Amino acid sequence: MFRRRGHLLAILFILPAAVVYGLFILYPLVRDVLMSFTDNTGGPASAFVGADQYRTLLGDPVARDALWHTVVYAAVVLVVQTTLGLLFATLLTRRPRIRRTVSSVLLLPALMSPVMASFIWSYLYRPDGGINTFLGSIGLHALQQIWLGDASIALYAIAAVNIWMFAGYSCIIFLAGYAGIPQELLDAADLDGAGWWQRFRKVEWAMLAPALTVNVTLSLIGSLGVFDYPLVLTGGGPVGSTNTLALLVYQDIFRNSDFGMGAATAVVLLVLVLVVSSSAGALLRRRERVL
Amino acid sequence: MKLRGRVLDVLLVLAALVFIAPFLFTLIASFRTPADLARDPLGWPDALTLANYRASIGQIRYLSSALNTIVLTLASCVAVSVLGALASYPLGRFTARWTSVAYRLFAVGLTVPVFVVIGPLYLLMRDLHLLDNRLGLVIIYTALNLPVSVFFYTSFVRQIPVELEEAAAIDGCGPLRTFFTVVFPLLRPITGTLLTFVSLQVWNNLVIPLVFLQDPAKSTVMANAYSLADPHTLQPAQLFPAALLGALPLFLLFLIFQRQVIQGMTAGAVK
Amino acid sequence: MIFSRRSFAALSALLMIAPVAACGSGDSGSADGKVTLKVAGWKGGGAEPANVAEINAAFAKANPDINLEFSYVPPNDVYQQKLQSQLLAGNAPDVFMADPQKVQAWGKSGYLADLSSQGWAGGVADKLKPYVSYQDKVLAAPMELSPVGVFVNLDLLAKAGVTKPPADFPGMLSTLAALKAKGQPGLALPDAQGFMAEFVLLMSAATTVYQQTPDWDQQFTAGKVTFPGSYQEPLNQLKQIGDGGYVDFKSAVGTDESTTGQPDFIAGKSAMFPGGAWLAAAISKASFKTAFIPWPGGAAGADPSVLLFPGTMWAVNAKTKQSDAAHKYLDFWARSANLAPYLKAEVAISPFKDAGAAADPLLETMAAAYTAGRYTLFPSNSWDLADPETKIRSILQGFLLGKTDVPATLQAIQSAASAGS
Repeated sequence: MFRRRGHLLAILFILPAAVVYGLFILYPLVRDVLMSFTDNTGGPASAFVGADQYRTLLGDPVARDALWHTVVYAAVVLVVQTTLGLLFATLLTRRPRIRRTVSSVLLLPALMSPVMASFIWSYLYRPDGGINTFLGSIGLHALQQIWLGDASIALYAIAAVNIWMFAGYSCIIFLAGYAGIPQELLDAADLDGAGWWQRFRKVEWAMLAPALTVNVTLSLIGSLGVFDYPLVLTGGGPVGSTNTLALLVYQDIFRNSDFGMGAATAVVLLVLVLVVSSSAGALLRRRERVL
Repeated sequence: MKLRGRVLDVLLVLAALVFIAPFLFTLIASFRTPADLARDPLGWPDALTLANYRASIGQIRYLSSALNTIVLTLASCVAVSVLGALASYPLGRFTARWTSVAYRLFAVGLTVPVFVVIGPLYLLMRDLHLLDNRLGLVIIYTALNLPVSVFFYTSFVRQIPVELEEAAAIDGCGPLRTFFTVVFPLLRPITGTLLTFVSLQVWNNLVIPLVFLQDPAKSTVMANAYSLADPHTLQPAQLFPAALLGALPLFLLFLIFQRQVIQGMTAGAVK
Repeated sequence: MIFSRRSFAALSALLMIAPVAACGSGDSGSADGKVTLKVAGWKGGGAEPANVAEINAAFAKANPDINLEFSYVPPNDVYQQKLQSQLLAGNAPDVFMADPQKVQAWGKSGYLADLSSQGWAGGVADKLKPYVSYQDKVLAAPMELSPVGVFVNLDLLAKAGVTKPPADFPGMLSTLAALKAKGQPGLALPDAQGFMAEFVLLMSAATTVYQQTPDWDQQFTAGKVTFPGSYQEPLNQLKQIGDGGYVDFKSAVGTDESTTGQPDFIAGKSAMFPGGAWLAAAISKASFKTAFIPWPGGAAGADPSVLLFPGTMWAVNAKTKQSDAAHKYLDFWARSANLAPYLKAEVAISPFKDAGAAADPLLETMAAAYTAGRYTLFPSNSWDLADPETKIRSILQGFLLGKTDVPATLQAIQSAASAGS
């Protein structure tokens, strides 16, 4: 259609979205990028400081750590959440009788707001809280931890809350993917005498490509920009071990009134998102095309 | 075989229960008295009470704020999916240098922390007279969620066979009509997923209603719940009922639309 | 087709309404000759009514020509976000609440009106003056001084055979030892958010540093004193508490101050819990006898000083067209009789020199120390500003986790604090 009518028609289709998005997100964002080259503290006056903010930022060990924490956090959430979702979906799709009830139940955590969920988990994570009590009661005293007070595990403990919230959501997306696999393909695989694992690897996994794309994208969007879970659970501690880029932006703006630095940090985060999302997108598209 | 299936069912249900145990803890705790809960947070309750809920419902103006949030969520969902799908149609079909630039510009917005753009956005909303206005909120939510929408729709548009549209065009359908009768229905599978995501975003957002609305009567459930929580003394007896009440309409909405969403996903994928 | 037409209508509506939808107005005069004064604060609604409505009603009664419009804005990030945007957009209220950090940030941006010539300005407690000022101009009217101290469960102390709360550091250690010996819960120092260790350090310093050098902050800014030189004792007190086995620091770092520490104290799971007077209202609901004391930081027999947090203040919008009404409003709040209900609700001490000691019985010890001049203000406008404060909290968590010893910790605080001032 566009081949015949050309650019004008394409522009007309894009225009409404472009206007809303351009005016209300891109334009403020551009102002934000400009601000990252100033020493703005939230007022009308600010001086141009060139790339100073970026130099300070890249030289600051706290910011470099936060970049690393963000990447680790996103990777852990991506892998564990997707795997759990896939596992639940793979089992549930074979058990139609309980599928709907169980998947609805698994979705419950996703419906709470992240802030509220974090408050709930701060009760469970306290040293004498639910998690440790549970581990003690099943005889796993060795696994008891000071979950949010140990710099080497706090980041993973926070990632676990994120995973807990959205693994059920991931499962539902995969279930929909399973529902879309044509029965003939599965029957053909069965006729070939393929086992459970063979069938999954040769047929289902390939057919789940679109669902995987959706899951990976949503998980990356949520986890690369994460700030509310660490904000409520640890405030970035202990000893800065759960600082993420978005949390630094938040603190620059709300605690330090350092809008210039907050803007510069946000730009670094944007670049990270662009790099990760475009490389993930390319990988996933290649997988979908192979089919 | 049958027995193994039964066992698997039981194991799955058990696993699901363990998985949502923190949620169950919240649910039980929300019916306990503050003193009882503080004495032994994990223990069995002495007695259950509805007092926490009664207090919460009044404080957060539950009925009106829930209604507000539902309207806001639905309006944002419609706008995000229609605008996003319209834009993605040429973005996925038409390859020119500018379309790939446009696509990249949308991708930039995938993870913009809201608080980064709030300053300039506030000035803009003031100039458009959209402060303290629910429509203003719908526009902001739409703009914020368009990148995800465009991202998903574009990749799905690429999978739709061109022949279908060409047939419609030959039948004399105009481009808009072709889009809404042929293309948009084919995008149903991803629309379900997208709208679940957008609903969660809109429903649970705190900052935007609190900054852009003045009147608590216009505000959302979560914003009202949050603004009434005491920052120094977070009382679970106050917080937990609010958290659950806040999520309840969303859960009901999901149950109502679940069938459509799943059916949509299935119907689209079989094509 | 119906579907398509409808959604298209929705879409075009979405794009076109912007110019039509109008709301609000910047005009604050009205036909009946009354002026409208817009006031915003993060107290006076939500979980902290703080008697603001009562005081506002009294003001309205005394000033029938002023139409007072008070709006409550939720605290912390929301307040900051909202007011910051409004100030930038030029539609902020005429009078709004502030705190020392906001006075500095907004003063620098030129958002706040100069109040130096106001009658009450001369009556502000001397040590508090710098906190309401930016570059020697008074930009805010203080509303309170909030004591930071230790809440004590007297019933638990009695069970350990201790009849009154400790008044000096040896007394603190022996009280903790007695509680431990009797198997009673002891001191709680939850530090997940990082501010508990900072509180203890500063509360101890109020006695062990500032009693000798009242102008320590200014001397530090001038480079005359250092943390390794002055802060040995405060940090050592923390260390002794850990070494004595009275607090498990590793566990403390994983415990949240607000969501865990405070409910635990109310439930009788700790005998002593440091915190600000702003927690008093919730703690007063506990079923045991409570005392609220300054950190007993002094040597045997020495009286402790109290650490005071300069809390809320009123500032006037530099762009206001209602200066007269705004000034009247601040003046009204600055009078002891009018301010009293607020102080009562906040369990705070008056920030003005002429006011008597606090009426609240819980503040007895605190007020006595204040009247005797034994007090220090939280250094939140000099070296302990936002960014250094975040770093210092992180450094102290490292100390609690045993990652750094006393000298290294003080050295790290020294460089974090110097970078900020």
